[in-house]
Amino acid sequence: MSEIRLSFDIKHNDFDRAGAASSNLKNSLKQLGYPPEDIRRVAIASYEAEMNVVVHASDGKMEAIITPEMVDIWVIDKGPGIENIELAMQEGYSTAPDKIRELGFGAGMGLPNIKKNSDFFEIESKVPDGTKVHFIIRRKTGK
Amino acid sequence: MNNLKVEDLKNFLPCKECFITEPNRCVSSICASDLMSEVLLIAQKDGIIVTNLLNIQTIRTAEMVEASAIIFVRGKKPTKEMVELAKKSGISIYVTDKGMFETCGMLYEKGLSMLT
Repeated sequence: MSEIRLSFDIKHNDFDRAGAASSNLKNSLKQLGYPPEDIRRVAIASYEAEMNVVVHASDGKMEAIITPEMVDIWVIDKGPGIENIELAMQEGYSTAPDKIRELGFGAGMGLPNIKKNSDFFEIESKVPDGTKVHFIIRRKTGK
Repeated sequence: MNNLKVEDLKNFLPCKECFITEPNRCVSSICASDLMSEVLLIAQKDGIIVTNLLNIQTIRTAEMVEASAIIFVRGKKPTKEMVELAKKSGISIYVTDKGMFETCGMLYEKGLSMLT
Protein backbone atom coordinates (compact mmCIF):
# COMPACT_ATOMS: atom_id res chain seq x y z
CA MET A 1 0.00 0.00 0.00
CA SER A 2 1.54 3.32 -1.02
CA GLU A 3 -1.14 5.96 -0.71
CA ILE A 4 -4.91 5.81 -1.08
CA ARG A 5 -7.07 8.92 -1.40
CA LEU A 6 -10.78 8.90 -0.59
CA SER A 7 -13.22 11.76 -0.96
CA PHE A 8 -16.79 12.02 0.34
CA ASP A 9 -19.45 14.72 0.01
CA ILE A 10 -21.28 15.74 3.19
CA LYS A 11 -24.74 17.32 3.01
CA HIS A 12 -26.03 19.80 5.56
CA ASN A 13 -29.05 18.55 7.55
CA ASP A 14 -29.03 15.12 5.89
CA PHE A 15 -29.36 13.09 9.07
CA ASP A 16 -30.28 9.89 7.26
CA ARG A 17 -26.92 9.81 5.45
CA ALA A 18 -24.88 11.42 8.23
CA GLY A 19 -22.10 9.05 9.21
CA ALA A 20 -21.97 7.28 5.85
CA ALA A 21 -18.62 8.89 4.93
CA SER A 22 -17.02 7.83 8.21
CA SER A 23 -18.51 4.37 7.85
CA ASN A 24 -16.99 4.03 4.35
CA LEU A 25 -13.61 5.24 5.59
CA LYS A 26 -13.77 2.78 8.48
CA ASN A 27 -14.57 -0.14 6.16
CA SER A 28 -11.74 0.83 3.78
CA LEU A 29 -9.26 0.81 6.67
CA LYS A 30 -10.55 -2.62 7.75
CA GLN A 31 -10.00 -3.97 4.24
CA LEU A 32 -6.48 -2.51 4.23
CA GLY A 33 -5.71 -4.36 7.45
CA TYR A 34 -5.30 -1.32 9.71
CA PRO A 35 -5.22 -2.25 13.43
CA PRO A 36 -8.70 -2.12 15.08
CA GLU A 37 -7.67 0.38 17.79
CA ASP A 38 -6.38 2.84 15.19
CA ILE A 39 -9.51 2.35 13.06
CA ARG A 40 -11.67 3.14 16.09
CA ARG A 41 -9.83 6.44 16.68
CA VAL A 42 -10.20 7.36 12.99
CA ALA A 43 -13.91 6.45 13.01
CA ILE A 44 -14.74 8.48 16.13
CA ALA A 45 -12.77 11.56 14.99
CA SER A 46 -14.09 11.50 11.42
CA TYR A 47 -17.69 10.93 12.56
CA GLU A 48 -17.49 13.91 14.94
CA ALA A 49 -16.11 16.06 12.11
CA GLU A 50 -18.74 14.79 9.67
CA MET A 51 -21.56 15.50 12.14
CA ASN A 52 -20.22 19.02 12.65
CA VAL A 53 -20.74 19.71 8.94
CA VAL A 54 -24.21 18.10 8.94
CA VAL A 55 -25.27 20.09 12.01
CA HIS A 56 -23.57 23.47 11.62
CA ALA A 57 -22.33 24.09 8.10
CA SER A 58 -23.62 24.27 4.60
CA ASP A 59 -22.37 21.39 2.47
CA GLY A 60 -18.83 20.14 2.76
CA LYS A 61 -16.49 17.28 2.00
CA MET A 62 -14.18 14.86 3.73
CA GLU A 63 -10.88 13.87 2.17
CA ALA A 64 -8.73 11.12 3.60
CA ILE A 65 -5.22 10.11 2.60
CA ILE A 66 -4.31 6.65 3.84
CA THR A 67 -0.67 5.55 3.97
CA PRO A 68 0.93 2.63 5.82
CA GLU A 69 1.98 5.08 8.56
CA MET A 70 -1.06 7.32 9.06
CA VAL A 71 -4.52 8.48 8.09
CA ASP A 72 -4.58 12.17 7.17
CA ILE A 73 -8.10 13.67 7.12
CA TRP A 74 -9.40 17.04 5.96
CA VAL A 75 -13.01 18.07 6.54
CA ILE A 76 -13.81 21.26 4.70
CA ASP A 77 -17.15 23.09 4.62
CA LYS A 78 -18.55 26.11 2.83
CA GLY A 79 -19.55 28.21 5.81
CA PRO A 80 -20.81 29.96 7.83
CA GLY A 81 -17.52 29.56 9.76
CA ILE A 82 -16.79 29.70 13.48
CA GLU A 83 -16.60 33.13 15.10
CA ASN A 84 -14.58 32.12 18.15
CA ILE A 85 -12.49 28.95 17.75
CA GLU A 86 -11.17 29.13 21.31
CA LEU A 87 -14.73 28.94 22.65
CA ALA A 88 -15.68 26.18 20.17
CA MET A 89 -12.77 24.09 21.48
CA GLN A 90 -14.05 24.31 25.06
CA GLU A 91 -15.83 21.15 26.23
CA GLY A 92 -19.52 21.87 26.66
CA TYR A 93 -19.65 24.99 24.50
CA SER A 94 -22.15 24.62 21.67
CA THR A 95 -24.22 26.77 19.37
CA ALA A 96 -26.38 23.85 18.21
CA PRO A 97 -30.15 24.46 18.22
CA ASP A 98 -32.51 22.38 20.40
CA LYS A 99 -33.57 20.32 17.38
CA ILE A 100 -30.01 18.99 17.08
CA ARG A 101 -29.78 18.25 20.81
CA GLU A 102 -32.95 16.18 20.53
CA LEU A 103 -31.06 14.03 18.01
CA GLY A 104 -28.36 13.38 20.62
CA PHE A 105 -25.77 15.83 19.35
CA GLY A 106 -24.71 19.41 20.01
CA ALA A 107 -23.27 18.84 23.46
CA GLY A 108 -20.15 20.82 22.68
CA MET A 109 -17.86 17.79 22.77
CA GLY A 110 -17.19 17.32 19.04
CA LEU A 111 -14.02 19.33 18.39
CA PRO A 112 -12.35 18.37 21.72
CA ASN A 113 -13.11 14.72 20.96
CA ILE A 114 -11.53 14.94 17.49
CA LYS A 115 -8.40 16.38 19.13
CA LYS A 116 -8.44 13.66 21.81
CA ASN A 117 -8.50 10.87 19.22
CA SER A 118 -5.88 12.43 16.92
CA ASP A 119 -2.10 12.71 16.98
CA PHE A 120 -2.25 16.02 15.15
CA PHE A 121 -5.14 18.48 15.02
CA GLU A 122 -5.61 21.92 13.54
CA ILE A 123 -8.62 24.05 12.70
CA GLU A 124 -8.94 27.12 10.55
CA SER A 125 -12.14 29.08 10.13
CA LYS A 126 -13.23 32.27 8.48
CA VAL A 127 -16.69 33.83 8.73
CA PRO A 128 -18.60 33.47 6.40
CA ASP A 129 -16.34 31.39 4.11
CA GLY A 130 -16.11 28.17 6.10
CA THR A 131 -14.04 25.87 8.27
CA LYS A 132 -11.19 23.45 7.62
CA VAL A 133 -10.54 20.76 10.20
CA HIS A 134 -7.35 18.79 9.65
CA PHE A 135 -6.35 15.82 11.78
CA ILE A 136 -3.95 12.90 11.57
CA ILE A 137 -4.13 9.50 13.24
CA ARG A 138 -0.80 7.68 13.18
CA ARG A 139 -0.67 3.93 13.05
CA LYS A 140 0.33 2.86 16.54
CA THR A 141 0.59 -0.87 16.17
CA GLY A 142 2.32 -3.34 13.82
CA LYS A 143 2.24 -2.77 10.06
CA MET B 1 -13.98 -8.68 35.08
CA ASN B 2 -17.05 -10.37 33.57
CA ASN B 3 -17.44 -13.16 31.05
CA LEU B 4 -20.71 -11.98 29.59
CA LYS B 5 -21.50 -12.49 25.96
CA VAL B 6 -24.07 -10.64 23.88
CA GLU B 7 -26.52 -13.56 23.84
CA ASP B 8 -26.41 -13.84 27.66
CA LEU B 9 -28.34 -10.58 27.99
CA LYS B 10 -31.60 -12.25 27.05
CA ASN B 11 -31.28 -14.59 30.04
CA PHE B 12 -31.70 -11.84 32.63
CA LEU B 13 -33.04 -8.79 30.81
CA PRO B 14 -36.79 -8.86 30.10
CA CYS B 15 -36.80 -8.31 26.35
CA LYS B 16 -39.68 -7.31 24.17
CA GLU B 17 -37.63 -7.90 21.03
CA CYS B 18 -34.06 -8.77 20.24
CA PHE B 19 -31.99 -8.88 17.08
CA ILE B 20 -28.80 -10.77 17.83
CA THR B 21 -26.08 -10.69 15.17
CA GLU B 22 -22.90 -11.86 16.91
CA PRO B 23 -24.10 -13.97 19.88
CA ASN B 24 -20.63 -14.91 21.14
CA ARG B 25 -19.22 -11.40 21.10
CA CYS B 26 -17.89 -10.40 24.53
CA VAL B 27 -19.38 -7.47 26.38
CA SER B 28 -16.95 -5.08 28.06
CA SER B 29 -18.90 -2.38 29.88
CA ILE B 30 -22.03 -0.20 29.97
CA CYS B 31 -22.44 3.23 28.46
CA ALA B 32 -25.83 4.63 29.48
CA SER B 33 -26.70 7.93 27.82
CA ASP B 34 -29.18 9.67 25.56
CA LEU B 35 -26.44 11.95 24.32
CA MET B 36 -24.49 10.46 21.41
CA SER B 37 -21.80 13.14 21.81
CA GLU B 38 -21.18 11.66 25.25
CA VAL B 39 -21.22 8.07 23.98
CA LEU B 40 -18.53 8.99 21.42
CA LEU B 41 -16.42 10.35 24.24
CA ILE B 42 -16.71 7.62 26.85
CA ALA B 43 -17.95 4.34 25.33
CA GLN B 44 -15.48 1.49 25.28
CA LYS B 45 -14.93 -1.07 22.59
CA ASP B 46 -17.44 -3.97 22.85
CA GLY B 47 -19.54 -1.96 25.32
CA ILE B 48 -23.33 -1.95 25.57
CA ILE B 49 -25.09 1.33 24.87
CA VAL B 50 -28.22 1.74 26.99
CA THR B 51 -30.37 4.55 25.65
CA ASN B 52 -33.76 6.15 25.13
CA LEU B 53 -32.60 7.77 21.91
CA LEU B 54 -34.08 5.98 18.94
CA ASN B 55 -32.76 7.18 15.60
CA ILE B 56 -30.35 6.12 12.87
CA GLN B 57 -27.53 8.12 14.49
CA THR B 58 -27.72 5.89 17.57
CA ILE B 59 -26.76 2.98 15.32
CA ARG B 60 -24.05 5.01 13.53
CA THR B 61 -22.58 6.05 16.87
CA ALA B 62 -22.54 2.43 18.06
CA GLU B 63 -20.77 1.50 14.82
CA MET B 64 -18.03 4.11 15.34
CA VAL B 65 -17.31 3.16 18.97
CA GLU B 66 -17.43 -0.59 18.12
CA ALA B 67 -20.27 -1.28 20.55
CA SER B 68 -21.34 -4.91 20.88
CA ALA B 69 -25.02 -4.15 21.55
CA ILE B 70 -27.61 -1.43 22.03
CA ILE B 71 -30.43 -1.72 24.56
CA PHE B 72 -33.37 0.55 23.80
CA VAL B 73 -35.26 1.14 27.04
CA ARG B 74 -38.96 1.89 27.71
CA GLY B 75 -40.07 -0.27 24.81
CA LYS B 76 -38.70 1.83 21.96
CA LYS B 77 -38.65 -0.30 18.84
CA PRO B 78 -36.08 0.31 16.10
CA THR B 79 -37.12 0.56 12.45
CA LYS B 80 -36.21 -2.12 9.94
CA GLU B 81 -33.59 0.24 8.49
CA MET B 82 -31.96 0.64 11.92
CA VAL B 83 -31.91 -3.11 12.49
CA GLU B 84 -30.31 -3.70 9.07
CA LEU B 85 -27.61 -1.08 9.64
CA ALA B 86 -26.81 -2.56 13.05
CA LYS B 87 -26.61 -6.05 11.57
CA LYS B 88 -24.08 -4.89 8.96
CA SER B 89 -21.85 -3.62 11.77
CA GLY B 90 -22.21 -6.72 13.95
CA ILE B 91 -24.22 -4.86 16.58
CA SER B 92 -27.06 -6.64 18.40
CA ILE B 93 -30.19 -4.80 19.47
CA TYR B 94 -32.37 -5.44 22.50
CA VAL B 95 -35.66 -3.73 23.33
CA THR B 96 -36.86 -3.75 26.92
CA ASP B 97 -39.86 -2.19 28.64
CA LYS B 98 -37.66 -1.45 31.65
CA GLY B 99 -36.34 2.07 32.17
CA MET B 100 -32.71 3.17 32.01
CA PHE B 101 -32.10 2.96 35.78
CA GLU B 102 -33.50 -0.55 36.21
CA THR B 103 -31.76 -1.83 33.05
CA CYS B 104 -28.40 -0.53 34.25
CA GLY B 105 -29.06 -2.10 37.66
CA MET B 106 -29.61 -5.51 36.07
CA LEU B 107 -26.41 -5.20 34.04
CA TYR B 108 -24.48 -4.02 37.10
CA GLU B 109 -25.64 -7.06 39.06
CA LYS B 110 -24.06 -9.22 36.34
CA GLY B 111 -20.71 -7.52 36.83
CA LEU B 112 -20.88 -4.82 34.18
CA SER B 113 -20.07 -1.23 35.01
CA MET B 114 -19.38 2.03 33.27
CA LEU B 115 -15.64 1.56 33.07
CA THR B 116 -13.67 -1.66 33.11
